[in-house]
Amino acid sequence: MLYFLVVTEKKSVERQTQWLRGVLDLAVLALLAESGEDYGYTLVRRLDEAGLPGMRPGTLYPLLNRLDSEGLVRSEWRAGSGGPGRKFFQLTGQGRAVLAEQGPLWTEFAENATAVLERGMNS
Amino acid sequence: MTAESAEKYRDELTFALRMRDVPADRIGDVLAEVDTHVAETGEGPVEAFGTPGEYAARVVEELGTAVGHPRRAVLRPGVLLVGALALCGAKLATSAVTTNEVVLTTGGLVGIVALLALLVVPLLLAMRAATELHSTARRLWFGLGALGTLVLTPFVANRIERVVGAEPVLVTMPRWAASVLAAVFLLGTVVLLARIIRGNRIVDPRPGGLGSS
Repeated sequence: MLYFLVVTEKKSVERQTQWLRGVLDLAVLALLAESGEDYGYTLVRRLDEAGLPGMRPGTLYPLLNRLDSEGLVRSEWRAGSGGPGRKFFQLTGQGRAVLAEQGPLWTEFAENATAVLERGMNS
Repeated sequence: MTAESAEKYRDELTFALRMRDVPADRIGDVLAEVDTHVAETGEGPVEAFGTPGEYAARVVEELGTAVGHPRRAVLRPGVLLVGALALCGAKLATSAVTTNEVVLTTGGLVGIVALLALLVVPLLLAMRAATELHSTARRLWFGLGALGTLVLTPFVANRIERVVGAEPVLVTMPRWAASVLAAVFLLGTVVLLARIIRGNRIVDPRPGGLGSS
């Protein structure tokens, strides 16, 4: 029984990770818009706290660097206080524009998907 | 996680990124990100980032098509030029030691070009073996293919040289001239190699970070 619950929980997180991949770049832009700036580890934590779990650093860091090379975020290494240096990411004007343009499209898509699922579940 | 296993991960990740022709500045960034994350969270690098091969493939996927194919690491003009200079230098030096008068024939020239071209095959196969992530059997076959073609390459190049033949003679030069030319070629190899190594040096981007491998 416990094994079944663990497997179900794992599959559920895997499923959510798959869903998250489709919106991860927009979610990261949104989190940066909210906080002003952030670094990789706290973004992983904030995604988790926002109910978007299962994001591995091995997926997030390369994505952050792609956003950086596309000019949607800018990055800067800064010395840590007593710890390792941290790479901070900030949203650029271009990133803000992409969020403003693509965010509503995703919201509409997610609402449509939710409506389809709800109709199916209620029928 | 021990410091030794973190170091091993770092080395294997560096190798995997090098094999995929990721630029040195990006490698420095990726290594610093892994180090920082692991130091801050205490997570193991494999747990957080996947195996070095998997993570290198992921980094390349996000970098786009401009980098990342093992072929590009071998087929760069700089690498091919180093190979050509080294082969010509070695051939001239060997001839200068064994004969008084060094003769360059059409067959000899074609043989050198063929050897250079054929050496690309085992190199590509070796890199393919090093970057194969999923199948141990495929890795083994690529590795054996690299070894096999490496062994066969000098014989095939020699055969091509013989088929083309010793005539016509293109250049004849005395031993001293061949020695000087060999020295120039070999020196050129060293200089070019040093430039490639310096240009591909991985530097830690963190403030106060040291240059590494």
